[in-house]
Amino acid sequence: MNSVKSEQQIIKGISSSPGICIGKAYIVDKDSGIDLIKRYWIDDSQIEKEIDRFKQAVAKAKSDHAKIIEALDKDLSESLNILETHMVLFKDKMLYGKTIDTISNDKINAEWALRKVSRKIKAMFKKIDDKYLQARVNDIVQVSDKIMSSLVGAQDIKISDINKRVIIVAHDLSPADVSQIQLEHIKGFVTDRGGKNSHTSIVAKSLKIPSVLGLGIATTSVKNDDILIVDGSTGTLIINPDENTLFEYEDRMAVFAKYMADLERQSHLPAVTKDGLTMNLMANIELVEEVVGAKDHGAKDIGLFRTEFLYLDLKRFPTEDELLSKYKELVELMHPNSVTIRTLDINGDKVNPYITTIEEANPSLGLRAVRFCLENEDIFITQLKAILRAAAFGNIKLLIPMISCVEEIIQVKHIIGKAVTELENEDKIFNRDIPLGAMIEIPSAVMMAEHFADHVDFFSIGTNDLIQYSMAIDRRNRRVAHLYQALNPAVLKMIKMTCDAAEKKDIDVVMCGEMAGNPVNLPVLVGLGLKNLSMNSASIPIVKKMIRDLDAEKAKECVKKIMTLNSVKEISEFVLAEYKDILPFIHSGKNR
Amino acid sequence: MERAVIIKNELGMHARPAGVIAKIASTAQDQIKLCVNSIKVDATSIIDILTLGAVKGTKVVIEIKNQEDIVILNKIVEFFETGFGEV
Repeated sequence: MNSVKSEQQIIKGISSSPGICIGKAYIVDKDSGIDLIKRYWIDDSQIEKEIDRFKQAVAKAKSDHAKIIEALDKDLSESLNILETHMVLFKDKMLYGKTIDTISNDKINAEWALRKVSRKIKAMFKKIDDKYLQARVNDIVQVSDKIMSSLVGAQDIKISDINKRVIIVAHDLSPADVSQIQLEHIKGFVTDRGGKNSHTSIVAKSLKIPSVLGLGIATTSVKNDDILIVDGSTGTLIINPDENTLFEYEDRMAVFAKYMADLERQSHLPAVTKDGLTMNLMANIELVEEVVGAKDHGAKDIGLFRTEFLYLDLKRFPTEDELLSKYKELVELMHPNSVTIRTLDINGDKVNPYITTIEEANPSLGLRAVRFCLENEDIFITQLKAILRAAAFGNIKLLIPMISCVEEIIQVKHIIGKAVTELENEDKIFNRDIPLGAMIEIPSAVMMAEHFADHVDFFSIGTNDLIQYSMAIDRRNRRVAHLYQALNPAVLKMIKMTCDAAEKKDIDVVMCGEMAGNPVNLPVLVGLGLKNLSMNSASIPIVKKMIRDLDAEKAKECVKKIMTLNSVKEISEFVLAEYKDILPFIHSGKNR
Repeated sequence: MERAVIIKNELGMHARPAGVIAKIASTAQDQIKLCVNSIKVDATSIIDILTLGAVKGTKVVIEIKNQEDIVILNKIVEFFETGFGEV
């Protein structure tokens, strides 16, 4: 053991989900992002068993892969070719044979051996001059990832395998990794990458795990078992705190816990403003398991169900029946309240490497969401059929992401028609009478909102993307993250335009971005006339409290003034001054 | 016994052709090697073949150990000569 007492070190990152935790560091792999594999030595007697386990994992991955090939449209010969090459790669000597050799020679577990072998292969490919041939290493990486997930899946490990109360320190965690976190084992997490509105942060908030992202140097500054304080509210990580700091944070933890408990106790009260306006607060969820939390927090409906998770989790395209069983479970749990299902929104940090091997320079401006679905009609129809069938069991609304022009809505409706015809021909039970909504998250959609309204039943304003596209910034890029401004006058004008269009055409409008979950924005949103807000369910209690303290008429008056202000600074200051008495206790650290 | 061939297709010896070669080679009685300059790889392993990084115009020598594998050698040569079916 190293007996040298380390100095206290404070690193500032991006606040992701509020709360404080104190615990020991548990570092996951530094160089390649998420890499939560088990590493352990085995003795001679276990070698055979370990090799068997590896062989079984390969067999399973291979048979899963064969199923994908089977399901593939035979016209897609290009991708078929590559998938068939992958079939052969599963048993390639350099991968399969070498991993088995490594297990028995190095006496290490299968995951570790596979990782070693695939690292070596990667290194060999780095030496190839030709860029195209060098990139073929991706085929091998994909195959080895499939074997790895089959190995790991069979044992149900990954993050869920960590069984001490620790704070995870990682280079980066994907939303799927975070959603596996088991609360009884993990106190919080910090990462080098990521930003306030990344999907990782959204999931962390929903699970109420204190976390700080975008620290840049966390994995290089922290050693395993270092004592850490994570203050998610201020975005601070303290390594090896001294005694005074520890006492201080223990106090703050208690205060924060008490405040949250107070809020939760009030969360069953209706969301009505002081002057009697009833607001509809809904939850954004990604997993069916989140329904319990959503209901506990007082959400009435599910205002946004993101459907990407199942696709990412399976690492292949789920079948209609697989999708149906998830959707059905969800709508039955929520019945008679509604569930708004957003169709596949694959992009940037949610990208599934198994869908395409084409790299886009700007994925968030690329073939994503409805654009991807319109290009891949079979994938889209499969999901639409599952949604229409689930609608026979409960109250569903259908939401299409990333609509940028009227033609897309018309195309989507045409494809829904096709899905309906297929279901009729297959004699399936389904419900076609479900409201259709368009996400308003692209400036062009805002400009055309009035025309969109002729084709859809409701709007859902996705502020995360709307802000990103309006300000032309990547919300995960730390260098421009300061321009991600919910209260920017341009953003507010866009929201107003959308609300005005919806009112004129008499359709519903919902806001489902993170903006709706921040109490500071509430007076503005209420003032703009929004009545339906969908947010991360953990934010509902605090938002509800804010609404109960608000006066809607006063908010409307304030908005008139706000719309004349021309900078985010003026607007923020105005809101803070006007509402300082009712803005909830915002935990402020001494570093601010 | 060995024969030399030249890679004719635009993309070089990438994953799909490597897969075809490995498949053909795996039916052989004995070892089959592919050589580029001084590097020799196992023709039954896609990964090994790919690590050659053989681009268009590269000379590849195919080497067999067992005379009975000459049929297989010819098949591989033919596959090279058709530009892996991509020309």
